[in-house]
Parts: sequence; structure tokens; C-alpha cells
Amino acid sequence: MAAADSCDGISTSGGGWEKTVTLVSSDDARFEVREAAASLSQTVRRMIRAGGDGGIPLPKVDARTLSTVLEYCNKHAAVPAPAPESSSAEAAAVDLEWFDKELMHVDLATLCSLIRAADYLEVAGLLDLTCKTVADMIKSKTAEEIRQMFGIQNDFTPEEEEQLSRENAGVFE
Amino acid sequence: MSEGLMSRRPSSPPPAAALLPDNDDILREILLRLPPLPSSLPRASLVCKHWRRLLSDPRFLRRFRAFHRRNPPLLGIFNTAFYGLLQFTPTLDPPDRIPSARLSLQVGHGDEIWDFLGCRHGLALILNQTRLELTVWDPLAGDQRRVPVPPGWFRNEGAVYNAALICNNHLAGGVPLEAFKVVLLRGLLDADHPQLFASIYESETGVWGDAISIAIGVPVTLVNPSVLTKDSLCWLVQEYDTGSDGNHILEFDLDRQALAVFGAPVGTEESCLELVRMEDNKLGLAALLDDVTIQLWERKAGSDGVARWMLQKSIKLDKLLSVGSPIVGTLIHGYDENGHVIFISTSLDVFMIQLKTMQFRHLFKAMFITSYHPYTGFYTTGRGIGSGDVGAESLNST
Repeated sequence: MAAADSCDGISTSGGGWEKTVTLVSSDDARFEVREAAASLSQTVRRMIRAGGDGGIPLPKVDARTLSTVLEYCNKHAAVPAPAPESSSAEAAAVDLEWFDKELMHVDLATLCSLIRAADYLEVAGLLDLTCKTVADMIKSKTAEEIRQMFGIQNDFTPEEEEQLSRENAGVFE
Repeated sequence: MSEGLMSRRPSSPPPAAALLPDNDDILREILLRLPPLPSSLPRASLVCKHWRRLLSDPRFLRRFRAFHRRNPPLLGIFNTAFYGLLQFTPTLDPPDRIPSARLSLQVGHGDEIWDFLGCRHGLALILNQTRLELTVWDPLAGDQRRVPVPPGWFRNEGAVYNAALICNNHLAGGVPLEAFKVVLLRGLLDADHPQLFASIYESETGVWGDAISIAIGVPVTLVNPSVLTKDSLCWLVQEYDTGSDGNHILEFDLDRQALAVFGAPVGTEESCLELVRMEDNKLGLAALLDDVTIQLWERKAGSDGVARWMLQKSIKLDKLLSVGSPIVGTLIHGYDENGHVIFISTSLDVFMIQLKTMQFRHLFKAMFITSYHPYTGFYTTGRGIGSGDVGAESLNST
């Protein structure tokens, strides 16, 4: 594919040319990314359409978080849509699943930064992945463990707590 | 593959303060992805008032049900027991195990004739032939609607009945009782020309549609709960008194509102049959050929566009189930169309088998032989759970 004049050009491993765009993080790090990958972000896609010079500013995402988001986008945009039910489709799906799992091996603070970034950048797949990861972390925890995990204040009075546990008691064995 | 200027993730984490985004939309996205098990939302509701408010919001609960609509949890099974008791047996482990007494229901008075016709989309359907009415019951909410059968439908001797329900808004996460349909079947058998009739009731209008009918040639019984396929409800129909081998399927096309009857697969005439739902919501059929063999058939359109039965696989129970003793007295007790799970027993040991993965689980030792009606549903906060006593009272009142 020929690089458009308004975009940077980058050679791909296949020897062809792909359109790239430059994204600028809140701490002024510049990332040159294939447009196909960057367009997984609906926010970036809109800004590409709007046009402009000197890179796309993303003032709500720092470099560290953005690099992980782009790792996700590069991987997911690189996978072509194979024929469903083919063995290569299955292999690609397994590979993506493994990649996603690895990407989520981060601490809770990083995970929450990624959720905020995926929400701001509107990367639906990454928002789903990160929210699911947090949900999986809290699903078998007690209320007190969840509070400690997120630093949430317990604002129930002892009377309210007692009433709530009465409501739940007897519902489950 | 392009590279960012910083392609490696640095190892120092950001400060841990203000972990959760100060944004209810994001918090909802996380909570939405909690597993749809009964203990999930009540437990998360205990974290703080803010979480409790979010989790009891009806709009959130609707989204939660819609998000998990493809895999509602199997909470347990209903079966009819003695003295008009509709008995619930939980199949989940603690802390998601809902006690039997919470959902069991005393139905009608001792001298009334009633049938339990199965569950779908979180609702259960009961036909009271004495009072000529259907009860659509939401066991988790303890709420119910009564629907009188169409005028004149129960005036014939020798008629047989069955019915099925569908919840209109279940894909959108609707409260089960807010909009449902009931399809009622009646078979007139002692006439010279046996016929099956169907009529459909819409809760939103409160009206039964015109009856449609199909001639069936021979007297039949309508058995087993229905299976909901892509666009039809299907029932197993068995001939009786004909001396011939006759298993048929009655199909009610929900779009065209038309009835059709076609035969069961050749070679399954002597078998115990159960309708099932295959991939892409196609109709399937499980046939218990002998004590150790279940055949799984799928109804598929061939290249000529004509639908035929195709044998999909044969399941050898003696190879699958790790029971020490020989497998004898095998029976099929029921089927859950959501989880594609069949309930069988051998020597009264009841197993559930997932028909795709072949994973199985021993449930319990059956006390007596009966049909099991799997019940799936979403237990959510913000609504009380119905107790059997309350349900029994309102069912008995007139």
C-alpha cells in the first residue's frame, strides 16, 4: 500500500508500505503506529479523519500506559480475519487468547490505568479484557477483601451491615 | 509490524492511590462482568453504599441479564413430587446453592389435576386442567401471572394438552414476566380425523390468537417439554393404540405461526427420545438405543434444501461414566437447552452430561423415576427471592 503524503511511511516486514500515524502521550512521548492498529481506538480514528499535523495528542494517557495499549492494538490489528471454522482461525484465536492473558499479568494499579485509557481511547476489546480481568480478581473475594484491594471506605453503619447480612442469610446455603 | 518508541513496559508501577476510576460507567463495566452466579451481586453489594446503589439499579440489572443471556446459570431442577409439590433441587455448589425450600412450590389443592410443563427464560409454566388456567411463574421473584385457557378449549373428552412459554425480552435482559408468550397445544384424538391445534397468547395484549390446526392421521400423546430452536418450538409426539412405531416431531413456526409434523430418525422407533438443541439453535434429538448407547441426531438441510436427520455422534455411557457396576436401567430424565446438558440415570444414579464437551457430573441418587425440568435464571439484588410458602399461598388463592 502506498503511503499517503500526509502520513509518515514505514516499511512492513512483508516489504510493502503501510500508512502510519504518530500518537503523542501526555508526557510527550511519540509513538509511530500503523494506522490500522491505531484505528482500533475510535478516539484516534476520529482524530485521523479530522486531520492535522505533528501527531495526534492524547493528553489523558501517559507513555507507559500508551505503550501497552499499542501493544494490544498492534497484535489485534495484525490478525487477519480468516475463514471461520478453519484450523488457522482456531490457532489464531488461541494465540490471541494467550497474548491477552500475558498482557494482563500486571499489577492492579497498571490494570486500572489501562481501563481508563481503553475507556478514553475507546478500544472496545481492551476495555472488555481489562474489565473482565478486574471482575475475575474480585469475584471470589469477600466485601472486606474488595474494600482493601481498592482502598474503599466501608460506609455502612453496623446496623445496616447487620440488616444486609440478614437479607442474604438463608438465601444461599 | 510497527514499533513504538517505547515498546517495552517499564516495571515501576504508578502510585496505588485512587485505583478505581472515578467514573461510574467504568465501574459498571467491571461489575457487569462478574459471573452471573447467585452469590455474585449480593456479595459485591456489601462493599459500600455506592456499589450497592449501582448494583440494585434496574437499568444495570437489565444490562447484566442481557450481557449474560447466552449463559444463564443452571440453578437446579424442578420435578413434580408427591402431594402436589413442585420440588426444587439445587445443582450449584455453595455459596451459589439456593436451598430447595426457597424455590419449591405447593401447587393447587390435592384433588386438582395439573401438569408442570417446564421452564424457559427464567420462568416456569404450570397447566391446571381443573381450573382451566395456565400459571406463568417467576420462581426467583416469587411472582406469577395467570392465563385462562381460550374459551371452549377444554370441553372435549379425550383431548391432550401441552404448552410452552417464551420470554419476549430475554435477549434485552428484560424482567422475565414483563413480556411473554405462551403457545398452547391441544390434540383431539377420539374424532374420526385426529387433529392438533395451537394457539398463541401474548401477555402484552392479554389475548389468545386464532387457533391453527394440523391433521395428524393417528391418535398421539404430546410428551416432554418443548425445545426452542432458531424460530420454532418443537415437541415430541408419540402415537398410541396404532400398533405401529411412531415417534414424530410437532413444530410450531413462531414467525409464520404454522404447524408441521415430521418423523423421528429411522432406527429410533424403540428408543427413549429427548429433543435437544444443537449448535446454531438447530433441532436435535437424543435417542437412548439401549442401556449404554445414546445417539445424537441433528436436523439439517441438505444441498437440495430439504431438512433431514443426520447422525452426529454416538455416546457410549459405559466408556464415559466412571461407575463401577454394569450400566443398567438407563433413563433420560430431561434436558437443559441453554447448557446443552442432558439428565440421565442408571440404576437411579442421576448424572448430567454436557453433550458437546462430554463433561459429566453425578448429581444424586434418585428417589423415584420422574422428569427433571432444568431451571436457569439470574438471581440479582434489589428483589426479594420468592419463598415456596408465599408462592403456594398465591397459587392456591382464587
